[in-house]
Amino acid sequence: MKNQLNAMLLTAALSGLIGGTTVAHAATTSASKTTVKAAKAGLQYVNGDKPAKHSCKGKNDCKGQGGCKSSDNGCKAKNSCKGKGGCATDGSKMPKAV
Amino acid sequence: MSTISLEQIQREMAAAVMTPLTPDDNMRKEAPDGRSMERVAASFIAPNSRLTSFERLEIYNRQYWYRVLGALAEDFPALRTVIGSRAFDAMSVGYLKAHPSRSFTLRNLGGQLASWLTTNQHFAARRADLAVDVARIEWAFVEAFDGAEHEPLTLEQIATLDGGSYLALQPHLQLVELTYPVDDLVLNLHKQEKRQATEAGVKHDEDDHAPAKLPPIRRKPTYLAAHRVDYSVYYLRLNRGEFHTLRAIRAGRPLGEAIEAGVTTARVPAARRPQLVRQWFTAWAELGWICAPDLDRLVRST
Repeated sequence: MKNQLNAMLLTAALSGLIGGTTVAHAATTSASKTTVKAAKAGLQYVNGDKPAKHSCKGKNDCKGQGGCKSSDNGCKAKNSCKGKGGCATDGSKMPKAV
Repeated sequence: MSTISLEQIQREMAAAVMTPLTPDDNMRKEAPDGRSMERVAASFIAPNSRLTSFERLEIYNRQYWYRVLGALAEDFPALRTVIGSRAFDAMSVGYLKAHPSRSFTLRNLGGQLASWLTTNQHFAARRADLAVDVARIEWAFVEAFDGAEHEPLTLEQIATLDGGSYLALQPHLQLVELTYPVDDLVLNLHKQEKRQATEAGVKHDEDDHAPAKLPPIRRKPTYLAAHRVDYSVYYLRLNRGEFHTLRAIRAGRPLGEAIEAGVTTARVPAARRPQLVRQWFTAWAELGWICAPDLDRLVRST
């Protein structure tokens, strides 16, 4: 009895996978792809027009790779060394690349 | 002056820079190991005509903390609102002392915050459990935003599956189990924060906000999926059985076992279960959540 029920559940899962994959595949060739998928995706966490705090947010060139925050202006307006010359070693210039 | 190796300098510098600031945002006079910070600084930084060794090191000490505290506040704006900015700042320092930046990217900085907060609840006072849930959701958003995306299962691959098959989930799909239904609250707080930032033009981080007034929220086990569709992050409520099936798939259990793990918690009559399972898998396949397992990982784990 249990085996029979498990077989039914497995069949249901596989037919669901086939049905969903077919729908998803059909949507990729349709102009309304984004709308259909997004409608089933749930609630959008932030609006798409959220200002990019991280340099790559909203551009997604870092998609799947992580590492959004390494190059933005995180220290903007926080430069406590500004005007004091304490950042470079003894005020010397950066060595030039040969 | 004795010579020290580059590695020693780097270790001294990192330890000094990562030492928490005083309440007035100055560098501490004493290093964590009890040495005078003035002596520590002088051991590897020369003074210049305007600044002492201590003052020069202090610049980097401040920059480190301003930067990491700013990054954490940016990733957890709802948590900051829920517990108040003063408590959030104290919590951030406590967390960063336990989990300092170890990665080349600040993106990973808040990865342990939710679990750390479960054992350091005093920072969130009476809202501790709520705060942990909010932190979980906000971290799930970070993961869903830039997690990897794999090819979903193809029809050809589905045709080969049986109850003993292993599947995988999209890496960007995050499964979140909550004590409170705080998903809508977090969404509203994010919208509110965005509106305020837009209206104010510039956000004043120094404002000392008390914990926000919140509508009454009752405990209720809540299951969420945070995921990405076309470069936008969404969250979707899941029912209990759905959540446990997905979690079992992610844990590497075979398909048959994963289904059983879910349906037995779904609290529906046995006769309705096949229909329910079909609906789940249809929806997941439409969203592209189900992938082939990473064969390398499977081989490594066996």
